[in-house]
Amino acid sequence: MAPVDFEKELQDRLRSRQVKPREDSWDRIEARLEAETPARKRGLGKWKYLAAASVVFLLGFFLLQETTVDVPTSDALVESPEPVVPETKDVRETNGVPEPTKGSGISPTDPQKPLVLTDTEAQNSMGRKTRSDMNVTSTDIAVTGENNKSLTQPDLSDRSLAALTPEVRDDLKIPDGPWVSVDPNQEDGLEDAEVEALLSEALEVVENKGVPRDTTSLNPAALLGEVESELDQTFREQILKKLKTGFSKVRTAVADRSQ
Amino acid sequence: MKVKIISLLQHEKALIRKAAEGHRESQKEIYDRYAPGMLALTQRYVKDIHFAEDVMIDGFVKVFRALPEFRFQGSFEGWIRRIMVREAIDFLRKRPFVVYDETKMEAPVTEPFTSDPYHLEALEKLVEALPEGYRLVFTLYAIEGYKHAEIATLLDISESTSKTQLYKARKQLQQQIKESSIPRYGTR
Repeated sequence: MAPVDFEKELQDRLRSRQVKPREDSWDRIEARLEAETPARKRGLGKWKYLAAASVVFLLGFFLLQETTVDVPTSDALVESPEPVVPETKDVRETNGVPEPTKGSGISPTDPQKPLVLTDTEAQNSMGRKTRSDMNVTSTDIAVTGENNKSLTQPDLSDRSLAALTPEVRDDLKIPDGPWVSVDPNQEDGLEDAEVEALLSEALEVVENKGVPRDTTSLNPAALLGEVESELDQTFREQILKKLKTGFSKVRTAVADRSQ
Repeated sequence: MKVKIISLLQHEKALIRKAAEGHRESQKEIYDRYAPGMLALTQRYVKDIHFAEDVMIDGFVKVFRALPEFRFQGSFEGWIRRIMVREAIDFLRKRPFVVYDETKMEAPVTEPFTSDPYHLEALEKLVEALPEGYRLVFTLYAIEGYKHAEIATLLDISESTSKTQLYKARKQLQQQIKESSIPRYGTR
């Protein structure tokens, strides 16, 4: 159908025609556009809270991780100036009088438990320098004394048993005699007389030779282990408590926001 | 002159971009610029000025929503016009009393008319007085420049119905012009 001339004229005229809208027309448009915007903002707000909650979680997790690693920074304490394992081993091998119990790995914390120190365990527990490697528990170590009985652990500080004077021994209620590490698998053990002989022999040697005080050290592994576990537990409890509090706050805020 | 046009186009582009980002002032500027023309457009389809204004408002809300999708291909005004036309037709479609006359058309109308503004105004009134079905197709075809296929899709009718409506609209206009004082000039 061919276009009619007047249609072109009419088209130009009608297309250029304008009708002024009412004053409030833009307000109505704006109101509708505004009504859509907060919905978008609400959606974003929810995501923002969720993101914040995840960040708090991640931070808590990393803090926890870092603390677990940071605690054993006292590696230097573990390092002993002299390797003590060969001395213990020599005592066993030669069946002679042992050197004073330097580095014998005696833990002062568990006086009721008998501590048995085997040959390989002594090596494992004392010949290494890192905390993780020195993961020695009190049950790995034993000290025997008179009558081949397991002794209760005396309260020691930084001195070796052998270096103690008899008066101090009495005060501490430590039995007299030399200290020997024994193989717990050895059922027979030593005879009382032999033990007595060994102890007196050891005392003589000690008195004659003296004890180098500076080289003595306590078992750092046991000490560290205990301190570490206490620290870990306390810190974990604190962090978890804080995380729990923070998370509940965030959850409450999200719930309030979405209502 | 050319520089001025380019500058205006660039300003419009910047304005559209800002409006697309939700900048309210830019949206208002676009509204102020195009609203009068768009209200005239919607009123050609929806006679009642209040309904026409409602349609225009709905159309502008859709324009601002769809603005981020505008790719600057073709005229911005043309893009807005199409949205408004669709909105007006959606409005009319919801009303059940638009009737399309399906009777066959006869010979095409080829009557030329004057371009005198006074007579054009009289013609405009005649177009407005056309039955709704005729007026819709006539406006879409003659004023907005849609093809019959597009009109058929828009109005959900067949192409032949669209052609018939246009023919009948023209014929009625011709009849009314004959009866009225609008003069006919020359030949084409």
